[in-house]
Order: sequence, then C-alpha cells, then structure tokens
Amino acid sequence: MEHRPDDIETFIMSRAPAPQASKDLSERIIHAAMTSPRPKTISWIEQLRQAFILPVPRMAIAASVVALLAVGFSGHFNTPVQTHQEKTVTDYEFTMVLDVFDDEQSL
Amino acid sequence: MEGPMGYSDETDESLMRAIKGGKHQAFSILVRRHTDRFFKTAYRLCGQVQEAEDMVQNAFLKIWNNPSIWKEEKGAKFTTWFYRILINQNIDRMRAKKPVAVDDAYLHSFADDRTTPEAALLEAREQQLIERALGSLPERQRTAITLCFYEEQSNAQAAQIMGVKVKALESLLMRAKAGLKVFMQENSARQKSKEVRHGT
Repeated sequence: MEHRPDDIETFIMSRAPAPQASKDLSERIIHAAMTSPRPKTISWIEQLRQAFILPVPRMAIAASVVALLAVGFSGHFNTPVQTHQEKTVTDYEFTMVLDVFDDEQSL
Repeated sequence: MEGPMGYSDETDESLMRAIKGGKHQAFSILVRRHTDRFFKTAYRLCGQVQEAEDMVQNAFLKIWNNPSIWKEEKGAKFTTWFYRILINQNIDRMRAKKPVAVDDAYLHSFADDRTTPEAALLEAREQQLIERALGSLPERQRTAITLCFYEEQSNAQAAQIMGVKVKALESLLMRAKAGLKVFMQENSARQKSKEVRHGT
C-alpha cells in the first residue's frame, strides 16, 4: 500500500475481517444462471431487418394493394392547377401591355 | 470438445470469451473462482451479508445474460472490470435509498472470540463504531478506502477501477480520512458529555 500509517489508518485497519460467503453461494449463482433463459443477443443489422418485416404475408399483400391504389389515385387527380403566383404575373404583364397601348393611343 | 475440467487452467479473460460463446462450464469456473473474493468486497461496500450476496449474484448473472458488456479490446483485466460492476451496483443500491448498514449479528459473532464477555462487548462496540464511521462517508470516499485498504489495491489500480485519475483518488482518500477524523472527534465529545451526565 502507498499510505503513511497514522492514527486514522490504524483505526481503518482495525476493522473486523469480512465474513465468509455462504458455502453454497457460488452453486446458487450457477444454478440461477442455468435455469434462467439467456436473452438472445442480436446484431444491429438484424434489428434493422426486423424493423421492416411485416408479421404475416397477408398483411404484406394488403399493404401492397393499398400502396398501389394510392399511387393510382395520385396519378388520376394530378391535373395542372394554376397557382396564385402565376395568375398575378399574368395580370401584371397584361396591365403593362394595356399601359403601353394607352401610351401609343395618346400619342 | 472441452472436457469436464477443460477450462480450469484458463485465464479469466479466456473464460469470458468462452462465456460469450455460451459455454456453461466456463461460467461455472469463473463463478467458483471469484465468488468468495468478490463477496468480501461487496460486504465491505454495503455492510450487510445478504445484500452482499445479492450484489455478487446480480453481477455474475449480468455477465451470463449479457456477456457482450465485457469489452476485451479496452484492455481492462477481468477483476478490475468486475470491481466496477460491483461499485455500480452499490451506487444503484444507495440510490434506492438503502444506506450502508451495520451487520450487528456478524460483529457480535466476530467479537465472541475474545477471552472474556467484557472484552467481547468492547470489541463489538469498537467494530460498530468503525462501521458507523465508514458508513458516514460519501459513497466514493468509502469505495476509495475499501479498494486501497481492504482490497489492497495500489492507488493506480484503485484509480483505474473507479475511472478517475490517481490525483483524484488521492484527494478522495484525503477527504475520507479527514471525514473519519471529524467523526471520531465528534464521537469522543459525545462520549465525554454522556460520561459527565452519568457522573452528575
């Protein structure tokens, strides 16, 4: 040890020795370990793969049908829509043309 | 195939490798090799026989159920690493509001070896005082004292177990000794005042 002996150290060292463990402690530990099911450790790749697995094939089929329907409907409703911004620009440009026309008329 | 005693001469570290592979035999040898030693450490930390047994059992079951927590590449010895598990278990125990206790039954049985009943009583009181004094220390100071004085670890080893620098460990030891000194002074002052009251 790397300590200088003094009163407090004598006091610390006068502590009674620790008791003995129960004679069957190690056997109890071994028994407890062998009788409890050992949790299976899985790698992070396996965990990731499991996250994408659907529980039953029927659910996988249903999910595919729903996905296909969603894609189909999104195509059906995908008509061109004039945005507010486009309309404003067109109005502005039209006004500019009228202004030029008025100027030419006044001349 | 390993024979019935195939692992008995193996190092702790190679036993841990075998445990990772699910070898019961390796686990049994590791448990039988270290239970007594670590039970004593656990007892020094918590002060109760039953609690100490539970701590050791939980620590070994942790190894068996999740051996991947042992990282061999980090280079720590098995015993150093196991001390850490016990210390962490003791911290968890104390967080669950279980203070360091004094096992009176054991202290009295230890003191019974004295020649006279008076000497046995004095010894039991002395031991209770030591246990109370150590129990009054904060957990880290008590751990530092346990490792350096009772487990006979060097300051460098104790610092490695506790995950601190040697200077920090020395500071913990200094504060622990100062704390014990204060406890002793307060205790003797209490004793004196008691004697005065009984005298009057």
